[in-house]
Amino acid sequence: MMFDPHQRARFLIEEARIAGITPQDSLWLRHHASDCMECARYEESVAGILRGLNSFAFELDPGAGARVQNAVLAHARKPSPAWRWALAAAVLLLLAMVPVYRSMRQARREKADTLLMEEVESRVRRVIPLAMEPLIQSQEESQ
Amino acid sequence: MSEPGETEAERIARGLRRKDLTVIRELVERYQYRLVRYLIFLTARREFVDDWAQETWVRVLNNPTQYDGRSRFDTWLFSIARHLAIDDLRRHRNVSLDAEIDQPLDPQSPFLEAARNQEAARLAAALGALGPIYREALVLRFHEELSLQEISQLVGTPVQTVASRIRRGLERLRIDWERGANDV
Repeated sequence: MMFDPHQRARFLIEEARIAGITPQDSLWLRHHASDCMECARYEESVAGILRGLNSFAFELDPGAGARVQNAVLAHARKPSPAWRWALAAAVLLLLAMVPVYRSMRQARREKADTLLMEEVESRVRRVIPLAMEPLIQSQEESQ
Repeated sequence: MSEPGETEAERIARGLRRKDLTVIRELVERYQYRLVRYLIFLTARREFVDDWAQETWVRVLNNPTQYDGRSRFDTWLFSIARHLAIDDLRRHRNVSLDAEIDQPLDPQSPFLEAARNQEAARLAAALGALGPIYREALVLRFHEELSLQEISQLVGTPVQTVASRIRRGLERLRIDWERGANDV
C-alpha cells in the first residue's frame, strides 16, 4: 500500500502504460496531477519519452529489402528437405530393386525352360513307342 | 484467402505449411520493418541486421509446422530472430549483449541515425547506454504493443521481471531525458 500520494501517482503514471490501471486509479491520478505540478511534469516526461520512442524511423536499405524478398521466395520455391529425402529414398529403392527383379526374371525363365523340356520329353516318350509298333509287329510275323 | 471461421494467425500458419508464395510475400512486406527495428533495439547494431532478418525468414520457412496459429505470428518471428542474433553475436562475433551495457554511444549509433525529431534525438544517447534487455522490453511493449504475458513468453522470463525491466528502462530514460531538458 502506498501512502505517499506522489509515489503512488508516479507508479500509476508508469503502470497505466505498462499493464493498465483501473478507472478508479485513473480518476484519482487525473485529480492528483491537476493539483500537483511535479507529478504532472513527471507524466509529461514519460509521455515525451514514449513519443520519442515511437518517432524513431529506421531506414530499410531498399536493396537489402529486395534481396530478402528474393532469397525468401527462392527458398520457398525449393522443394523442402523432406521432399528431397523422399526423392532420394525412392531412387535408392528403385536401384536396389533392379537386381532383385533381374534374378526373379531369370528364375521364371529357368522354370519355364524346365517345364518346356519336361513337356517335350513326355511327348517323345509317348510318340516313339507308337511309331515303333508296326516294326515290332512285322518282326513278330516274320518269326 | 481465409477459410470460414479461420483466424488471421491460422491463415498465416496454413499459408506457411503450404509454402503459399502470396502469404510469404505478404508476411515479409508486413513484418520486415518491425523485424529490423526489433533487432536494432535488441542489439544496438545496424550492420548485421539485414543478414539476421533474412536468416530469420529462412528459418520460418524451414520450420513452418512450429507455428500452429494459436499465438501471434510476430511473437514467434521475434523469438526466432532473438535466438539467432544472440547466438550469432556470441559464437561468430565474440560479443555478448550484456557486455555492451554502460558503454558510451557510438556516434554512428542506429538510434541517432533514426532520430527524426528532437524528442528522438534526446533519447538516442540514453538508448545506446541502456542495457539490451531494457531496450528489448521497451520496444516490445511500446512499439509492438505486446502484452506483458506475450513478452514474457518471447524472452523466457517471468511477467514480473518483464514489468520490472520496462519500469527500470523507463526510469533510466527519464533521468537522461530530464537531464537533457535541464541542459537546454
